[in-house]
Amino acid sequence: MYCYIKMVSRSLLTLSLLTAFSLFADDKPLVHVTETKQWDGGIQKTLYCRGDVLFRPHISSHVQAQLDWILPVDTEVKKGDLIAKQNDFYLVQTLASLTSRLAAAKAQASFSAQEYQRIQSLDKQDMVSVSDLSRAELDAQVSKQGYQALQAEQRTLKHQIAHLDHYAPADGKVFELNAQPGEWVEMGDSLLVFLPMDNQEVVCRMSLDLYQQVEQLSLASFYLEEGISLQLNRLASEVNEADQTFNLHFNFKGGASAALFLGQRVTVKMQMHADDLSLIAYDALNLNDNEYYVWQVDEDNKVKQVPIKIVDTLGQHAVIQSPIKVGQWLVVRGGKSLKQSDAVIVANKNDTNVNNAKVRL
Amino acid sequence: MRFVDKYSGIIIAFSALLVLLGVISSLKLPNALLPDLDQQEIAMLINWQGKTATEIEQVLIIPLERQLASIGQLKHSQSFISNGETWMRLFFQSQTDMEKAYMDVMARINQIPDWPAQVAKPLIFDYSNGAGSTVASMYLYSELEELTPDDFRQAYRAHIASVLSNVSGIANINLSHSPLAQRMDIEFDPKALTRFSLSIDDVTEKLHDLIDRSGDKMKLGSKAYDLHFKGQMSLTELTQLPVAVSGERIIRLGELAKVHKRFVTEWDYSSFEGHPAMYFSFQPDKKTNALDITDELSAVMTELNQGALAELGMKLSFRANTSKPIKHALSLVYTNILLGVLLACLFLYVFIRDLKVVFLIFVSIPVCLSLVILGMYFGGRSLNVISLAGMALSVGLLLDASIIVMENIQRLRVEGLNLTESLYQGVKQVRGALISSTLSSIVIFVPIVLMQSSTSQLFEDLAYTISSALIASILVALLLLPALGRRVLSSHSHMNDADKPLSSRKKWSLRLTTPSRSRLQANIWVGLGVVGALMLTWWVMPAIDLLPNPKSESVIAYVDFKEPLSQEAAVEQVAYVIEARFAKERVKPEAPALTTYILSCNPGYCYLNLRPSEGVDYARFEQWLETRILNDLPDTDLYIRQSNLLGGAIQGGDRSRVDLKGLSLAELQQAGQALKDIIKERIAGSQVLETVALSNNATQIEFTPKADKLAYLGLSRADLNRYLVALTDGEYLGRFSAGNESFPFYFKGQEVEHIEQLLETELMIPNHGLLPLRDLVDTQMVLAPSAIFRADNEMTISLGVVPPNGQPMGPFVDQVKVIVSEYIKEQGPHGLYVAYQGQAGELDSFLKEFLLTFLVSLLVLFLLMRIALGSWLFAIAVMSSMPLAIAGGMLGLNVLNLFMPQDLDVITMIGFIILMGLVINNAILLVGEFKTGMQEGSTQQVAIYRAVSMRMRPIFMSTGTSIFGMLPLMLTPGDGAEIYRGLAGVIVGGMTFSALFTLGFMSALLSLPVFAIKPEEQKVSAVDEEELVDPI
Repeated sequence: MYCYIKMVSRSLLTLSLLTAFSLFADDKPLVHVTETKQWDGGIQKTLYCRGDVLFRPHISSHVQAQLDWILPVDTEVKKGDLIAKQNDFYLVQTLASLTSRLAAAKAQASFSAQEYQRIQSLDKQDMVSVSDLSRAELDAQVSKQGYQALQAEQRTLKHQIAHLDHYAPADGKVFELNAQPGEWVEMGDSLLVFLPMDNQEVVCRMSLDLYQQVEQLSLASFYLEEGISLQLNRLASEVNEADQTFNLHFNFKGGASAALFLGQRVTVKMQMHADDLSLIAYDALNLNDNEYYVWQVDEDNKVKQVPIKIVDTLGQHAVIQSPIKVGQWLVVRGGKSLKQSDAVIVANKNDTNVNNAKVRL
Repeated sequence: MRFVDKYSGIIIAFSALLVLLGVISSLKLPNALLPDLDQQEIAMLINWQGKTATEIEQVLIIPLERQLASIGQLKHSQSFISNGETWMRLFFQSQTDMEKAYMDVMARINQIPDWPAQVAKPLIFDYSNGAGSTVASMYLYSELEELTPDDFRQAYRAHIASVLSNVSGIANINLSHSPLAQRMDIEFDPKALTRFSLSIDDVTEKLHDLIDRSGDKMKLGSKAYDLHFKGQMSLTELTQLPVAVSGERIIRLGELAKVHKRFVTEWDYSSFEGHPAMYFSFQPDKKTNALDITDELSAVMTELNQGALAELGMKLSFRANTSKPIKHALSLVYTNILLGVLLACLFLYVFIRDLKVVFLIFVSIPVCLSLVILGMYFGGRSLNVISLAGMALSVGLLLDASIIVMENIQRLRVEGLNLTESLYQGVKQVRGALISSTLSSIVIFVPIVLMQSSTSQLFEDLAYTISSALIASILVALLLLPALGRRVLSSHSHMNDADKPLSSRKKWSLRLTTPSRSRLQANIWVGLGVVGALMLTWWVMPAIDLLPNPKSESVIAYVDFKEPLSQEAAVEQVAYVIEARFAKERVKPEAPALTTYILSCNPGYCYLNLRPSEGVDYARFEQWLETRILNDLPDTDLYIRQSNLLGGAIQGGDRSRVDLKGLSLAELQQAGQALKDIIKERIAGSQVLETVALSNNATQIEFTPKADKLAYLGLSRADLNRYLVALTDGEYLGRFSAGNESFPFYFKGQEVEHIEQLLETELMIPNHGLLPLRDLVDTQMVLAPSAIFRADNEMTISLGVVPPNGQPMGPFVDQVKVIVSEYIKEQGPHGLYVAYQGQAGELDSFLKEFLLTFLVSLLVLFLLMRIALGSWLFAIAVMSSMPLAIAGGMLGLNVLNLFMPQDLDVITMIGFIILMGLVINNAILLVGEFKTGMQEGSTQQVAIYRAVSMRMRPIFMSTGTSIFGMLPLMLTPGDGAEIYRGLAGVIVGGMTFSALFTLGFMSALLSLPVFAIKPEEQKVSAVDEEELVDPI
């Protein structure tokens, strides 16, 4: 009897008294979810690049002459603008002298030709020796050659005199000076380096690792951060020994251009298409050993564990490749104790705030 | 007596003076809830913000453990390592010289090799010096606006710190939840560095050692000039510091970075009634009056709230004013004492029917209690629940000596002696027996006081007060009583006893001694009294627990996060939600009244401390909390309980722990998870709490250097990690002096919002130009332990086990031990072993010690009996009465259990030892009287009858007064009553049972042939009544 009383009273006490520790848990776990978003940006990687030009043409001297005048470095010029001028005095004098010599050579050539004609007619009458005839022929030819040589020399000099003034071959900029005004430059010496405007390209370094991950570089799109599209023009064949990177050369697509300085550092986004990409909140990611997964909530409010691959992270979101479709709901809070096919209560299906941050009341 | 006769006036005056001094001392004695418990523990807090638990373990804790491993008297150590912070606790043997241990710990800490320069040395708390206790705690908050930690810091430093530190009795203000330490960050923009093609090293080498130096003196003229080389600079100068040159241009630090201060440690989020708050607590000096301290703090707080803080729109408030429960608990005990005195005196009057005699006996109470208080005052004790309970228990006990003396005096007066002679002889005749019985009651406390477990400290005050009261009662009975009797009692005898029909006492004596006149009855009585009593004891013994569970008025809730959150997420997703719910639900009419609530959140959990209004039903309150406030918080585990007054009383915590060791962390986690599932399955309703998570639940982003690439670039892993640290947490540069303060100084990258931003950061690699971080490291997300627990220098997985509702700890722990052993034997991995800590360990060690103490007490009593009674046989006879008392004690607990939960906790167990010392007196007096009768020539039956007849009344009177004196302690509900209720129940039950049955039992026992001195005179048949000599 006593034991019975003790048992009943203890049971009543147990039911009615406070618990020492109580673990409170709903049968169905409560979860917060977020919607999977569309991601059209493909897989994106960043390349580190610099502005560059295809060529850096030199303006060189055609003749040995003093440099009278040259534009300063960084002067912008239009096509056809005078950018350097060499002194023509000595060349002009030389041309005048040459013109005199040319006249004399012409007269000599004419006389020699007439003499030859006379000797030829005498030869018909057997009045001259063969050697006389030959000598007359030789004189006539030498004079003629001499005249022609002087003519060629005159043309060269005239060309040189015509190219003492140097003009911009295109719109661009004086990039570098190799001669200073007053300096004598030899024939063939570079006066300046010219930077044409329409000569720009973007040179990027790509690591070998990244190159090996990309399936087909030709299918990727490239663009500057401002959205300007680039086209892959050339690929280097040599890899830097130390950092295992190599160069890619891009030019601007469709006639577009960007005001890039030579050597200016820029980043270029490389975008590769991939199937089954979507954008999810970071909080939806779960990790199990080395596999990432998400909990997807279906129409019946049951959860399904879906393995995923993270291809990129963008701020508080991740771009994933997985069977998850756009618009499907993923668990962002409350997923720690879930098991496959668990039924859940969704707290916030209509709340499209991906971060589910609470504002202080 | 002649001495008393001669100096009776002085004795009476001196006694009055003692009472006055006792009252004065009682006002000066410190008040506390519990006695000062020397916790043989030193704790250390190590802060290294921004570092993972794994790194802290490797770099700091393992070397620290190695250094401390050989400290003398170290019993046990444990380290709880979480991200950014570690608590290490060292537990020492109970008799350790803690001052020496403290100095030893400090010295060893200073000798740890390779302690990182930027990590402050551990903050040490000597819990043996009261450092662990908190006398009060406060919140600083504003109702008007949201304050930032900087606002709090300024207000605290400017207005609060100095004022509160001056409160007497405060040893330290604990700011560990709101640490004020700051650091100076030079926060650089990595893009600015790359723009100037600068490496991190290029800049940091210009920032080291920015301190002033001095050289020798230079004599110029008649003076010697000190040479001072400026290195220190102000913040403004710092931003202008040249760090590099590019062509003609000087690059200054301000172009690359901004300089600003921030807190070293991110504060836990704390709020008071929904207002963000700063929390701090007060640690008292040892042996201080908690009530005085809280009163003074309260006055200071009021002054600040009305003064400087009012101008700032801020307010201070107590979180937990410990004076209230202390005052409630103490006043309850005072009430119990007064009630006990009243009941005991009423009972006396029923017996004696003589007011003067009752008055004389009653006088012992104030005089004895005053002596006890004086003893406590000079002994450095405090007025606490335990010491006051001891005084309440002794109210009835200290009347015993006076009752016995007065009874004897009255008997002699009735026999015809005059007053003076009665007083003299009355004392003389009982003096020896009184002293020996009192000594036997006192000596029982010696083994208790010598117990070494930390739990046993609770009993020191109990032993002190009861034994002091007993000693005082002897002095009063032998000195004051006769002195006062001369003045109070009339010279003519006026004995109620003379009016009492002789036949009534004779009838009762005959009834009680009936067992002695029948061999069969005697044997049955003896058998039942010993064997039966022991069996009854075993059968009705309640379950064993460590401590009683006295509830305090507050409710505590933990919202544990299943995986760590960021501080911001913990605040936004949990703290703000809880606060919003409180704001909404509290105003509803059906909501239970709530006085205050405080909330504290960190990445691991949120903690609530709530104070329901008086009169609120706690069960309903907890249900409201569970269903309206803390419901539906995803990925959390919820724990709610009413807080316990004894929560921090005992070293090792308020739960039991099963520590698993011997394997790698992953294997231990697996074993821990398996055991957790098994325990929960096999013990329904039990809770298994993870001290650290049983799986790696903290996500980390792991950076793995590309080793080959680093080799080509001429970089080491250490170099790369240094860059990574600089970009994230900051590279430590030394200390920077700004004004009057000195700060640790870091070169740190700007905050990054996401991992891509970090990986796209370009670094200048010497001789190789700029490279993005992505090209130097691979990253992946991994799971890592959010916290690591180490016990006794080993990796440990610890499971906190909590019994189901209402089940005490003892049997539950036994079940758990069986389960664990089976697991290890059948399934456990090889190498796994287990240790039990917390309540389980404490209970084990206490039980072992208690059993030994119990046996020693029995032995001591036995030897005392042998000396007092001069015979082994009689000593055995006296000891044989113990089982009845013990059985009675157990029954007393079971009666209590009918009305409220009452387990066999350690305080209750001590009650049995005290009980033995008390009930033994009755048996001693009986046996003594029997022996005297036999020696004077009486037959065995007559001697028994005589002994019972003579001792019946004083036994019933003294037992009755003791019982009634203790009854309020046992029955009165209130704050802290659970602490001593079981103790009172044991003693009341045991003494009652003893009073009811000891006379009959002892009659039966003493009637055994073995106790007959003259065998030829033993009679088995009934005794002719006329042959019985009326002893009076």
